[in-house]
Amino acid sequence: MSVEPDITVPAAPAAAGSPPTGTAVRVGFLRRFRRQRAAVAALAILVLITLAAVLAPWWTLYDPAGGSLSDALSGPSGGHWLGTDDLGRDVFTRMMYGARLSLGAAVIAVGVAMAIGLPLGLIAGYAGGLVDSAIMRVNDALMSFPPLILAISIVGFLGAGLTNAMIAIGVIYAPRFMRVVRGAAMAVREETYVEAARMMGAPAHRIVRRHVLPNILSPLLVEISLSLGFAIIAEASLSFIGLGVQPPSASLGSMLGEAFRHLRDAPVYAIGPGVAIMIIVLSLNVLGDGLRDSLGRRAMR
Amino acid sequence: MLRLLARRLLMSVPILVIVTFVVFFLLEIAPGDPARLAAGGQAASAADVAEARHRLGLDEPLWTRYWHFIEGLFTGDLGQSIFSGQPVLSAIAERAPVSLSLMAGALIVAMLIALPAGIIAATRPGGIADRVVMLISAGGVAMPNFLIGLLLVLVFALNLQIFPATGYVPFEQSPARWFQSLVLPSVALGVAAAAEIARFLRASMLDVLDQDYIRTARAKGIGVRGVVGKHAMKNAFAPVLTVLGLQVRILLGGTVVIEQIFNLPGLGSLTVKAVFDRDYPIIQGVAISAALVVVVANILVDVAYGYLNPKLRAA
Amino acid sequence: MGLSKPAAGPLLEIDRLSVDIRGEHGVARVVDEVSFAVGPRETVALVGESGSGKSVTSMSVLGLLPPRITRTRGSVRFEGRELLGLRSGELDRVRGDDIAMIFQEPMTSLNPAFTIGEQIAEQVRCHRGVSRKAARDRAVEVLDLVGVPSAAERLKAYPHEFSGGMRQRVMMAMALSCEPKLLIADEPTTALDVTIQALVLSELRALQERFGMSVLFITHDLGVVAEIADRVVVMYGGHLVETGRTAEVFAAPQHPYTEALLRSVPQGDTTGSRLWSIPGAIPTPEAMPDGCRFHPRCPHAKPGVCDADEPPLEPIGDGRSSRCVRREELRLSGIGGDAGGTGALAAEPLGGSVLPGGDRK
Repeated sequence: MSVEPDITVPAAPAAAGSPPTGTAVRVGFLRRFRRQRAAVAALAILVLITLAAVLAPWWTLYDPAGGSLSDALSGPSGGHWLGTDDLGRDVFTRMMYGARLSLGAAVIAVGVAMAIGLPLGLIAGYAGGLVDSAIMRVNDALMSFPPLILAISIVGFLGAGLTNAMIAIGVIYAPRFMRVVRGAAMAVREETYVEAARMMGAPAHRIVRRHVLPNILSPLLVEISLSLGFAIIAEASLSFIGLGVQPPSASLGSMLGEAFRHLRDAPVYAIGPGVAIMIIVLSLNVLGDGLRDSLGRRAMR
Repeated sequence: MLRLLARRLLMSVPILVIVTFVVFFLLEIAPGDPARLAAGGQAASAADVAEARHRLGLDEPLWTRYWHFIEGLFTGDLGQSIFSGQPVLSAIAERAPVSLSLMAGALIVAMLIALPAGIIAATRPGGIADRVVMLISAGGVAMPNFLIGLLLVLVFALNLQIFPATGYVPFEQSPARWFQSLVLPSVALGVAAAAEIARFLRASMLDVLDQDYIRTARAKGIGVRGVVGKHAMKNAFAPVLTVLGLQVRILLGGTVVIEQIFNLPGLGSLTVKAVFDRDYPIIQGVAISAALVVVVANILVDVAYGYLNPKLRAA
Repeated sequence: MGLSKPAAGPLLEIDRLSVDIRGEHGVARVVDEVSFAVGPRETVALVGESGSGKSVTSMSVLGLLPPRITRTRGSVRFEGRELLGLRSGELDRVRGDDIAMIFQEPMTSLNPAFTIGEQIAEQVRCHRGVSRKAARDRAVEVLDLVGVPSAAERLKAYPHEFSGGMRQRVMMAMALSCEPKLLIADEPTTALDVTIQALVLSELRALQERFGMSVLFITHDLGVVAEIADRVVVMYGGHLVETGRTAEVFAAPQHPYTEALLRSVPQGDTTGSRLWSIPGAIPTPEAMPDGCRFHPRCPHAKPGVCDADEPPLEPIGDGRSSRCVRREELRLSGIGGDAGGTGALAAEPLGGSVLPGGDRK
């Protein structure tokens, strides 16, 4: 986690009480986080998996797209740790590439969700009033769709494919970010030092950047972690159905889809990608919970 | 209670309006020309496309079309399938019972697992049972439902052959086989919900068991079952209801995947087929009905909340 | 009932009761070898500041302490039957039936999710096995008894629709619904304001006479004790420090802590004047001082005497006992009818308002 260079002690007027600076908030946060052993372990696992997946082209032994049909659906062996798929491709290698794709897709999807949710949440929370209610009604409406059905509908109109799937997942998780950011922004807005800054005539964008953003960083981190987990599952679901990543590329979800079609002949095929998804999502959840518990003062909910 | 219901109904109106707009607007983001698609694709002549455009009302301005769309909704006219020509409403009505039974089944499975698990975990926090429950539920939350479905098919349908792997038998045809055909899908869909609900119930129960009125109940000598099952439960269940409301959304979405795996002819498989066919009216119809189900479920949750928490009734 | 014990023997007999509670800082003994008895139709007040162990003592009678973190030793006998170590199913037959309990917080002690009628009737049904209708009738009866107006209509009301004083009456109605032989009242009036306090107390007294039950009354307020109790048991830091008949204890306390508690009782018209209170607080079980547990706050503490050995609880005749080594040298002042005029505090040993030796923190 890189620390932003921008965060310095704000020049708040003396009367405004002690403003919690971004750095101060973060030091306590990190200290509390380090005490959460399960969360730290989850973070380590995630880093490890991410490295293994990102670096897959440089260390896996097989071509993820090539194989010989004579090898098709062979069980695990010394040569193929998790066996081969219906086209004779090495499942372990494909799994690493699949994880790479799944992780990448989840990150981009969450990025999309943040790009939509963050500004809208900030505006709603900071402006309040009519703007807030209008944005929140749209938010409620989006939250009324079953997430997967909305995602499928969006993909249905945009067309199947990984990019569209990522956009769709981003849209369905944007309300979560909107809510978190709005709540935090509303809380910060009421603080005396922000009120003071406002009365001193500081422009809104500076107050938001100096005071609001640093304070929503921690809850945002929690939301990112949890949403990544959801996004992985959502992408896997879409790809499982065949609406996400298109062959010959594979994500963990589309691999499971293939495995499902060969469940009778080669049940082992499902183990690798299945376990990989579980570990990744579980780690993200544990990490998210740990982060939330480290939040302390500005607890969510 | 009635006032609570009325207020909630009123609050849903703007949400539903936005929902319809979102669904209507989906058509605008679609690449390609729906009129051409309706006219028969690339091969269609310009005249055919223009005719289709006029027939579908696509030559009118956005707001007019939205107005027609809303009018249609109120008269039950959700358009027709581009492919089969079947009215969207009847296609949905045909498929809805399957998805709704699946969802109900999943909810039942979830409650059957979550209630005892959450209560046992909460009554002995830190004990072995508690740790096992927490561990399994952490895994259950992280496990995508299609993975569970896959496992169930593998174990119970392919290996043990206790349940049919796929397919659906309508209730009217044979209630027993209808039930059988829904067991595995319901479990696959319900496990994640069970995990989530169990975790919430545990937390909420722990909170409630610490309250003074629980001590009062214990001092009354009404027994553990009365204290936990009645006094604690009614209070602890209120926050769980909120989760239950959220779960309805997720379960409804989950039916799509589960129906694919178990080859059930529900709304989910209808949607997936519609997506591959680019059958836009069907997709729109399903999206709106799904949102409607969620809105109704949320109202029910709020009313139930009022029942559990008498203080809210007056408000 | 006089000083000679009634032939039937005590109703409740607590014998060398000790309670250990596991907390953040390890196991702490919050009640240490406490023994006292409550006779039939007798009202005993268990008195002390918060942290004295009085509430824990009362809760252990009905086994209401969380079992995972508490260990109870000694004996609690009710009508000769040992209650400690009973399985919770067996205990449930005693709870609410022979022994009922009301608690300090009327605002939170009733379940917000059930009507008060249901909460009372449930207990009657459970112990009496009567029909719903009969249980409901009984609920109306007891609500009437404790002075809840238009009881029949109020059955369907929820706790949040009642005031604090009314809720405490509901609690009382609930406790009385099965005509218990012993009522344990854990600071039932503390959370109420003074006028309602007096009402609830007089109600309680009337009911006690009517039902002929015994009452174990837990309080930190000796003013309340004077109105209600036959005998007083004073606790400090988990110890029983003094016990005796109310009038005698009030007139001539035999322990400096009792004296200090008496001093903090408001006398007559106290408007405008500030109440005196004992400086400092009861030490936590982990930080219990050597010697007499009260000595750091005691105005009569003598170095080398009071901080050396823990004084034993000594019987001093007439059913009284005290845990003070300097008891015989001190002449502690009390209040009350026969000894000290019309409720004025004799100020002899306490002197000024600032206590020597008391750690003011």
